[in-house]
Amino acid sequence: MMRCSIVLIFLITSAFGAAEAAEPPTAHDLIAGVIDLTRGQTSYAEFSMVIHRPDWERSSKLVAWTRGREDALIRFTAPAKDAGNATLKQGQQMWTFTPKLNRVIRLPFSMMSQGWAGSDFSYNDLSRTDQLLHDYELALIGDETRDGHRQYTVEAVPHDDAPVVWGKEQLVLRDDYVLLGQTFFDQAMKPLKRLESREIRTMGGRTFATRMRMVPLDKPDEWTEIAYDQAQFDMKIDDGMFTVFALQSGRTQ
Amino acid sequence: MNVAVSSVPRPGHAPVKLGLSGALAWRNLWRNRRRTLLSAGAIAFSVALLTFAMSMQAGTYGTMVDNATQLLHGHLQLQRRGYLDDPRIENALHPAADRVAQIRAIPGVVAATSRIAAFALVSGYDRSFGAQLLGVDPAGERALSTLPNMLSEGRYIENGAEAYAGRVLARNLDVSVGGQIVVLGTGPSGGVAALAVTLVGTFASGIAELDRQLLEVPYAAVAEAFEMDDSAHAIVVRAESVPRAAAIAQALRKEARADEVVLEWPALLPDLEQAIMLDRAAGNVMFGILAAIVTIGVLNSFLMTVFERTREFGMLLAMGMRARAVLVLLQAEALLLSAMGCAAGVAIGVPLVLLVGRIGIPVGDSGAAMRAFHIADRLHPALSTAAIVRSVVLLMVCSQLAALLPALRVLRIQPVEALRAA
Repeated sequence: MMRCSIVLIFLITSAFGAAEAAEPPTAHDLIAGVIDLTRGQTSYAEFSMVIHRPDWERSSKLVAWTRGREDALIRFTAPAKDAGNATLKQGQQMWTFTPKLNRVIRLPFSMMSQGWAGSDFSYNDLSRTDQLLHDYELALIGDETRDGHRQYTVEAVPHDDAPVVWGKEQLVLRDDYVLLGQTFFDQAMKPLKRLESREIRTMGGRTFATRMRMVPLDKPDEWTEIAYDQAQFDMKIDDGMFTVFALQSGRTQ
Repeated sequence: MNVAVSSVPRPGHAPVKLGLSGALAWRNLWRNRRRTLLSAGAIAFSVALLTFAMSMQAGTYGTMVDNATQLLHGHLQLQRRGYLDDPRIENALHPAADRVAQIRAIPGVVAATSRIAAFALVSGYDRSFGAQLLGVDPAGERALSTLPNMLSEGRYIENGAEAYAGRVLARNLDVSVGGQIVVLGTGPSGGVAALAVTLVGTFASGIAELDRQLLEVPYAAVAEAFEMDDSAHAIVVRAESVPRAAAIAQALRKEARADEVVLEWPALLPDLEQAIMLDRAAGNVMFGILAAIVTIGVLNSFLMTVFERTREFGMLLAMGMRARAVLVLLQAEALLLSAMGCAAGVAIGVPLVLLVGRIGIPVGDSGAAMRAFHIADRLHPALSTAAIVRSVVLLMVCSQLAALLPALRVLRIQPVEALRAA
């Protein structure tokens, strides 16, 4: 009798468990998962950026630290001419440092969503901030199985009063929170630029999109690609890293 | 009136003769002296008014275009093809200095100078704004643009790391003359361009867009920071006059390289051109109304004529004159009437335009809206032959048509009935 009950309970719970797994997660959880996957508690990454234009192409190397969902520091390490230029985001404030002038400049917050350092990425795109969670209404609009993964499409529509230039965004992601692509629409709901994940690898113990390309859809000859060379997660970062002082001192460790 | 009597046709000859009709028409006009003078007076008044109003338009538009082009944009610009629609930093002309020297040598060119333009982040101590950075040759700007004279504080830039900013921009940045401004931008191949300059002066142009957004820095400093040596986003040209500029543009286009494009002021200042077109359209409606009123007056006067002279026309027709000849007679009367009116109108209008053109009409403080369209505080009509010709032609055509409608009645006159009528 006792044994029977245990088996029964086991069967019932596992049935519930199965039902739970089939229930899709909320859009909010999915986006939070995407953000946390590449940021962790803290993260350190070295990556390269290639800006491609019809007349020229430029490669840079950068390092980035993040802490939580809000703080980020990105610094150029190459080419030599640009090395040391850095941008710090702390909470809702941003600064940039230019070694040529040895000056820290406070940036207007609107710069977050503008093209960063001449690329097709905005600072928001690069630092994977949590703006999507605060300023957008998220809705799960697609759910399919492909290549052994469940693949979700989330539509993010900014709140009326949000400081956002986009009409809406659509994100495609896997059940393990790997972002596969992101499309940005203008106010007339016309797609304007698209982020494509071109390589998914395991780095620093996490599997994520390690090479991504941003393509402005009205200019087919132009794109910017970033590729991770190295990534670490959840290590200890000195609190002093995300300060204007650290920005100016140019520290890289 | 002896002429008319002596040239009465011999019997049997009744072809349409303009000389005869003219003489008859002249005599007929003075049969009712008061009506003729009143009609001619109405035409004269309208011609004078139209000439004046059109000259006023021409004068105002001319001033607007002069002021607007002299402020910053010049009469024409040489740019790299595509820059106007897609003003990105790599769309620049190169080499620029030789080209400027060539253009300066063209007869009729008053000034030519090259500029680098970049949208950049400009910051003071703790505040940053996006602004339009212009790298300019200070001497060239003084010769071409009125902006260096619109000083609010300080002085215009000379050379070195100096900046001349819109007053509102300086205030927003919380930087006063003598303070530091940092400019951050992106160079033509994606590199970071950084520049620290001292604010030496501010300007107040009255045009909000410029006062809030524009920052001028000497060419050499900008070219170095952005790595754009001997490049220009625009070679700006000021000519002796707007028509002269059109001729220079034409000549430049012939010898321009494939990647260069010559732009004249309507392309550089599309808002101004649209404002002028709108105003011109509104003016044309007013001119149309005026012409309609005069037409109705002349129509009325000729209607009276035809009614009063039904018996006379009947007699002429009975004598064998063709109806068409009577029509020609009436048209000749209308032509003489409007010619007199127009002559008087021009005689009044032209001196009036010249006189007022010299004195100018004060419009008081022209206000921000007027300044935005570069309208001065005194309006000066500018006499143009086009204005005279247009108003004279308009009124002559109208009065001819006005005379034709009642005259068509003559075609329906039965001579016998007409003779009995009065």
